Amino acid sequence: MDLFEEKEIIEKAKKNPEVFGLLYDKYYQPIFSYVLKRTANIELTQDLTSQTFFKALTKLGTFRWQNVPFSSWLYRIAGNEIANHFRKNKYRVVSLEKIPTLVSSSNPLTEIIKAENELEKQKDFLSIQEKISKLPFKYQEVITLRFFEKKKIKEISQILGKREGTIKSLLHRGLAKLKTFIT
Amino acid sequence: MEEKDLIKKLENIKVPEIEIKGHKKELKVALLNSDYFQKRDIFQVFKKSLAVLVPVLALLLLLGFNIIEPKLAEANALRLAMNNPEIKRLMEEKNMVLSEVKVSGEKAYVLLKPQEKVESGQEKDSSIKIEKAKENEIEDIEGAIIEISLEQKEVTKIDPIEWEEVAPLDDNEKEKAKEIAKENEILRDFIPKEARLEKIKSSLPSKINLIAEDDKAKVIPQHNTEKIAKIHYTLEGKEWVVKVDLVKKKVEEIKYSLKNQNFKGRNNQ
Repeated sequence: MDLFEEKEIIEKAKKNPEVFGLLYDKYYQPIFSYVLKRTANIELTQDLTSQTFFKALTKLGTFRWQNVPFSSWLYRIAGNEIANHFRKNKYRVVSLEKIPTLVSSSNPLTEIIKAENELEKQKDFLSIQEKISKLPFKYQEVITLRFFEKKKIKEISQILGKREGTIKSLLHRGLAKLKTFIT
Repeated sequence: MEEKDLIKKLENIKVPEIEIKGHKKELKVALLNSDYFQKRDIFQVFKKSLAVLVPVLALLLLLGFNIIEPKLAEANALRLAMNNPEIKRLMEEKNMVLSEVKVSGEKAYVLLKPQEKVESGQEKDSSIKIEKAKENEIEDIEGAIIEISLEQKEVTKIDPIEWEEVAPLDDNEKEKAKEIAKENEILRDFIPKEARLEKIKSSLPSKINLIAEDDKAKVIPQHNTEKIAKIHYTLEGKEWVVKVDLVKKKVEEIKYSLKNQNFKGRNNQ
C-alpha cells in the first residue's frame, strides 16, 4: 500500500468500521511487538496496545494527513502510552507472577502462558532490555526503534516528530549512557 | 566496550516475535463496536444534543413563567438536583437524565435514569455495545431516586434503584437469559468458556414511572413489555456484565473490567 492509497483508506476508516478494521489488522502486530520490546511484559503489552488503538480511534476523526505513514502516528501514540504508564507507576518489580496452567488449548489464558514462557527464553534480549529500561525515555525510544524495530533514521524522525540530526544525537548519547550500564 | 561493539551487539540480538491471537481478536471486536462509530452519525449526535437541551429549556421555561406553586416546587427541586455535584457527575459520566419530579409534603423526589436510546432504524440488529469499565465500576448505578428537602432547599438523599428488589427475574427468565447469551457469537468469542456465571439479576427498564406518597417514593414499570437481565461472569479477576433483552431476545451490551493493574514490568521509569 503506498502513501496515497493509505491516505484514501484512512479517510474511509473515519466513518467505516470495516475499513478501520483493515488498518487495525495491518498494524496490530507491529504495535504489539514494539510495546513488548519496550516493556518486556505480556499483560502490560496487551493493555498498552489496547490503549493505543482506542486512543487512535478516538483521535481518528481529527487526524490530518501529513504525508508520513499512518504507522508513524500509531508508534508515537504507543510511545506516549508507555511513557504515561510508567510515569504513573514508578516502581520496579523483579519477577513475573506465575499463571496457573489451564487445560483448554484454545483458551486465551493458555495463549498468554505460552507467550510468557516464550519471552522468558529470550535471555539476551531481556538482559539488555532491562538495562535500556533504566535510560531516560528519549533514549529508550530511539534505541528500541533503531535496533529492535530496525527502523531507519528517517522513519524514527517521522515517528518521534524530531529532526534526523536530533535522532542521531539522541542515539549517540543513549548508547554512551547504555555502555556505562553494561561495562 | 566501544560504541561500535555495542551497536553490533544490539543489531545481532534475537528479539521476541510473539503473537496473541485471542487479544487481537478481542480488541478488534471492542474497537469496531465502540461508541466512536455510533457517534459518527450526525443525526444521532443531533438527537442526543436535543435530548439534553430539552429538559434544560423546559426548566428555564418553568422558572421563567413562574406558574402555580406545585409546579414551582417541582421546578425548584429539579434545579436543586441539577446543581448537585454528585448528580451532575452521574448525568455526565453515566449519560443519565432527570426525568420526573413528584412533590409530597415538604419533600420532592426526582427520578434519575439512563437516557433513552433514540432508535433511528439505522442501527444494525446485531450491534452490541462493548464498554470497558473502570475498576470497581462494573456494577454500575442504573438509576436513582433523589430526595430533596424543599424547606432546606437541598438534596438530602440519592437512593440508587435496585431493580432486582422491585421486579426480580424468575427461574424461567434466568434460563432464557442464559440461552440468549450462550447463542450469541460475539459473546462466545469475547468471554472465555471457563468463565464462571456468578449471578443473573433483573435490570432497570427504560420506561419507568415515579410514584411519591406519604413522604416515600418508588418506581414502577410503565408497562410489562420490557424485561432486561444482567448476567455477571468472572474468571481470574476479570469480570464481564452482559445485558440481555429478554423480549427482543438479544444481547445489548457487554461491560468488562480487566485484571487489576498490578503490572510486573521491567521498566522502572
